[in-house]
Amino acid sequence: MTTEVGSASAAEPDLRSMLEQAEAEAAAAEAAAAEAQAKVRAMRSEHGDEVDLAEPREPRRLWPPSWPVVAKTVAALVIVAALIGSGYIVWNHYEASAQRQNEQEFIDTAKQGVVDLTSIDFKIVKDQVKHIIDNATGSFRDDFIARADQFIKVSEASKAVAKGTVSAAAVESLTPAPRHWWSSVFPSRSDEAVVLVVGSEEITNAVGNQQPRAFRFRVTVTREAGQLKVSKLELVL
Amino acid sequence: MTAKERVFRVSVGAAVWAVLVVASLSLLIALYFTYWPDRPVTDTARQSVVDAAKEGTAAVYTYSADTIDKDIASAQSHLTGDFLSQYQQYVDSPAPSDAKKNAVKTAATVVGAALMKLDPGSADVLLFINQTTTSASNPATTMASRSIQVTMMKVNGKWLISSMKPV
Repeated sequence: MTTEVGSASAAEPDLRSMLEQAEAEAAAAEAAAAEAQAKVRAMRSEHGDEVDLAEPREPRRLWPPSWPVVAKTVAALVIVAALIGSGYIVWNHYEASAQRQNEQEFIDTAKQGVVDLTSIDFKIVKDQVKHIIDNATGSFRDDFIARADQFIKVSEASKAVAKGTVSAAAVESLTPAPRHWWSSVFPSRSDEAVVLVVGSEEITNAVGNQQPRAFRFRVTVTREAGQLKVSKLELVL
Repeated sequence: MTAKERVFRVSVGAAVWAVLVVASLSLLIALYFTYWPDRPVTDTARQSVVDAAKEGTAAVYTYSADTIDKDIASAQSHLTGDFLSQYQQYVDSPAPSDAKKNAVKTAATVVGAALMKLDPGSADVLLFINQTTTSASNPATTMASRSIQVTMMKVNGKWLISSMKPV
């Protein structure tokens, strides 16, 4: 800015003061602008990505993923795989115990059948015979009914007391349990099983005490109206 | 929120993830050791152990004076552990040479076999055996019926007899 010294000396102080004022105003405006910019910067850095200001942001980068994303994905996969594996183990255990329980019912029935048949007390033999018939079915029941009277007569006449025990029993064969869609939750049961039973009988009769005798049995157990019954009983010679 | 607080939040998130990973893996490992050995018995698994028990027991109870060395070797190939050493004691005793001298001929047939228990590495099998024997001193056939509980062990993928007891 140039001023002609001398020619307009009267107006000079007035002009100078105006100029100074203008310059001061400009400086104040610049300072205000700087302050405002600083505020914006501060707000941006504080709120991070949450506040979208002024210029459009670059779209979020998807590939390659950042390491926290990778770590979370791997962790999620490990957790899911571990839970699936755990579920599979528990399911197998559940199936195995259902299978054991299914077999055990047949074993228990066969053992009881052998104990009943080899235990005689001449004083209560009629009840014992009735009990055997009640827990029998099929050919074994028919055969036993046919010789029940003879059995009662002989044991009463000889005053026989026999004590039967079982020392081992195991399933030789088993019809497969039917599979239904609900079988995994409510396991279904087999209909028939062949059980090997080792039993022994200690007889006391009018003649005197006798040595215990061991017998090997092959017992067929059949489910009849929901109840397990002995349907066949043969000595394995 | 300051930058310090944000770092703290990130590490809490990471800790939660880490706890979940460790918890789920611990569950898996615990179940593996407690329940995994207990799986349903498949028919093939049942059949293979029962067949091995039948074959091994028949081999132990079957021998003939003229083939006794071969019969002993055949029996030994089905045995393991304590029962193998018990059998070795029998082999080292005078019994086999006595049997040879007496022209003993004995043969066992399995008339019943049932699986009592099956674990991944061991099993119990109930066997009904009928054994017929003839010898120079007793030419008439004598018959013995036995009920035996055979314990099997899986050795290198093969079921072998580790114990036999009468029941």
